[in-house]
Amino acid sequence: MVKDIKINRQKYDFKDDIDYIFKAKKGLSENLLREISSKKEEPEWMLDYRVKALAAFLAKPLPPWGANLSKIDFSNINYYIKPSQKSSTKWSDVPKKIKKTFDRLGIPQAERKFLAGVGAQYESEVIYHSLKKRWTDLGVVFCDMSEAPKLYPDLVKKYFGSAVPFSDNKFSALNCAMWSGGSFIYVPKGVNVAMPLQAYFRINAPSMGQFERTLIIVDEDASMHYIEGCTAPVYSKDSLHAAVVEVIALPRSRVRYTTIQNWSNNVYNLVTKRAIAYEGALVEWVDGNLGSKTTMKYPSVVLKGEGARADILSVAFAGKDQHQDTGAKVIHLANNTSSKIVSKSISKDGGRASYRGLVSIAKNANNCQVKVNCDALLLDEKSRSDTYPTMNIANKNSIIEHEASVSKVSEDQLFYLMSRGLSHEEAERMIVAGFLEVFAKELPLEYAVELNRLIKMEMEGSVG
Amino acid sequence: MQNKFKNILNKISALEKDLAFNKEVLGWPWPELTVKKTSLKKIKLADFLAGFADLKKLYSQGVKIRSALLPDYQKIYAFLETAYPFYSKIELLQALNSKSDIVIDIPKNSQINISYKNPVFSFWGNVYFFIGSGSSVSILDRHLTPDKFSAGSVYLLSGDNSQVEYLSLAGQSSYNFNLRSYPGRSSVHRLYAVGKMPEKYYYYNIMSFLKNNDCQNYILSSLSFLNNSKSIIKLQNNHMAKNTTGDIKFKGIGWDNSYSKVDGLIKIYKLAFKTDSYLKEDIILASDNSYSKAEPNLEILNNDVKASHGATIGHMDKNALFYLMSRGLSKARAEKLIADGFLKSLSKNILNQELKNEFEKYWL
Repeated sequence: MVKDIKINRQKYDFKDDIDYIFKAKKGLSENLLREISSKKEEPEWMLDYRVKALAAFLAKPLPPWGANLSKIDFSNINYYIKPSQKSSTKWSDVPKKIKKTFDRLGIPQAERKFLAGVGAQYESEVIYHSLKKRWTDLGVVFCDMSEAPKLYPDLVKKYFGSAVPFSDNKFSALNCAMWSGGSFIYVPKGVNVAMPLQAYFRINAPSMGQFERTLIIVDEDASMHYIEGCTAPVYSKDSLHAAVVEVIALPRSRVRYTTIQNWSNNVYNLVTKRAIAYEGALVEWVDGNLGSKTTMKYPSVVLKGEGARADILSVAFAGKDQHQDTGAKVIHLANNTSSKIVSKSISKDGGRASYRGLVSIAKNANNCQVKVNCDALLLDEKSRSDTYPTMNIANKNSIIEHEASVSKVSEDQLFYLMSRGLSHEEAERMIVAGFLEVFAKELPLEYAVELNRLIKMEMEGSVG
Repeated sequence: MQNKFKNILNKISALEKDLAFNKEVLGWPWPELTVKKTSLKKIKLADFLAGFADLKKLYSQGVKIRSALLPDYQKIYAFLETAYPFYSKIELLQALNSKSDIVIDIPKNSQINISYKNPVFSFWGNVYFFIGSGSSVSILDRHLTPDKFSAGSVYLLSGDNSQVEYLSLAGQSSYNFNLRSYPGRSSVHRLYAVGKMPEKYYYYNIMSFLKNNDCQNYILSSLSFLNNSKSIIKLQNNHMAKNTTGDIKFKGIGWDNSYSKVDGLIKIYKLAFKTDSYLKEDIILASDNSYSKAEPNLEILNNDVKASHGATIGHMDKNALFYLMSRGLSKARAEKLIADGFLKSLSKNILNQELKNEFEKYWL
């Protein structure tokens, strides 16, 4: 019964045989870093930044809490693989084999249908990005992050590393040193990008380290929605994905960032995501973690301006041998800021899902409102669920609420559904789908359909 | 005296060496603790007995109060082997260096009310309640903490089918208090702790080990954090057996420049099926400079459970404050009234009338 509920990754589990343009030797060194930097023709300050970050990475210990990361062998990782000559804006220019990969994943179709723009990253480099003319005319920028320091030096210099400094944690330091690819987005004042922008990340080579870097700047009164998807084929050797995402939401802007991560379960997914919200801005993280071996990801929002809001929805599915250590962080620094965190997790087949959250209210931030809600569903007795919420409160005029519950699939509900003629599996599937409904509702229709299909397939496997 | 932990002494010492002493979180200065640790004395039994008002009655009911003997340590090992991996450095220090172990034997199938003043904290001492099966016991424990850096533990180890209610009234000076509860099969332990924390450091650690089937443990605690105090409160139910039930309810108020950290934890082990647990932390910050950190954690390793937790941190009810002030109360008086009512409200869960009265009296 319960074992029928699992994520089907067959669709993503194919490997390509690609002739890479450049493949760096395994292991990490300053020479490699200089080589990457010069290949990308970066300005001097970026190289300095990388060098400083590398030193910070080497100096910092692995986090003593959270998932077990001691098995990562940093010397046995390909830190840089370049799949094609340059990032292209025409789909026809993308190398054939890579094109085939993304065709199988449905990237260009998605663009035609419902997206304002698409970026696709293969190993270390963005191989394709495009933005519809309607938006480029309005001054919206959507490009490969590697190009951005050359094309938009002022913006990049001002905001790069402003939300996530290299000294933040070991993996942000690694990313700052080795970053390559990712998206750079700028939405000018007052522009409302009505359709989502999407980026797709793919790791193909074994023992690969992907360190994409995304910087999103949404100017005053503007709004945008960004979606990212991640997949990789299964190898016996582990890969590492350590991304950094920075979102700058300037006054009164609205930003929504949606992730559906479905890495194969040999990928360590250690991502630092942080947004800074200025006066009246709204930042929403919608975070779905279905894949990977180990995920440690806590999308955070720093509410810096008065009246800023944060809305975080996090969903984790931990199957066999998976540890999803996910959660959310909100730091209230200004008056009248509010935040809402909803977390849902499902553990099965011995998987472990942990919610790890932080809500912090600074002394001078009055009238803040916080609501945190975590629900966990345990589908069998081998699985594990943890909740580690931390609330640091230094202001007496704020209200913080936290609630959590952990349960198995309710016998009453099962009995009711089965008495209405559903099989045990169907009933269980329906309960799980209902449990996740709040998440599916937040996704664009096409994604919600895809998510439902995924969960259904997972749950199906053999349910049929 | 070191041989009292003979079986696990090496393990505990090794753990004590490995554990970092987190002095940022807990302000106990290490050098002063070291001095204290080497100069500990043994408590005289007579001094301990002096804290009891009605000794004669207790003796007539069959209660024995004495220093610990070798056979007692056999019982204590069995418990410590379960418990010591959970100890923090300061608890291990206290356990390892204490020379004062008092045992209070409570006979089977008896009904006992104990009320005493507890002086063991100056000696880093331990009080062990060995509660016979089928007994019903209420314990009122008034902590005496005249010195700086005092520490002490109270152990409640019961047999099958017993009922234990324990209320501690906090001492004045900075100190570390460890309460360990180990209910027998089908036994129910109810632990209550109230306190006003005006001095520098307080470390309260209340932990239960539900290792016998069908047992229950409830923790209720109301604390008021005052002045420049820094308090760390740990409340933990470890569900290790089937059909166990546990509730933790905490209420706290931060006044003045106080700092408080409230760590709750419900841990459900792999084979602890059909458990029912709840953890609730409510904290009011009553002053501009108070600070509170709440961590209501859950760790759940099997699926046949009912576990939930909630936490709130907020300010005083402004409407209630306004109402009281409109009736002529000063702001300070109104705040105190609301605070006391808030802290007192947990008393409705106390069964023993005498302990309930004490609990309520404390917040008047």
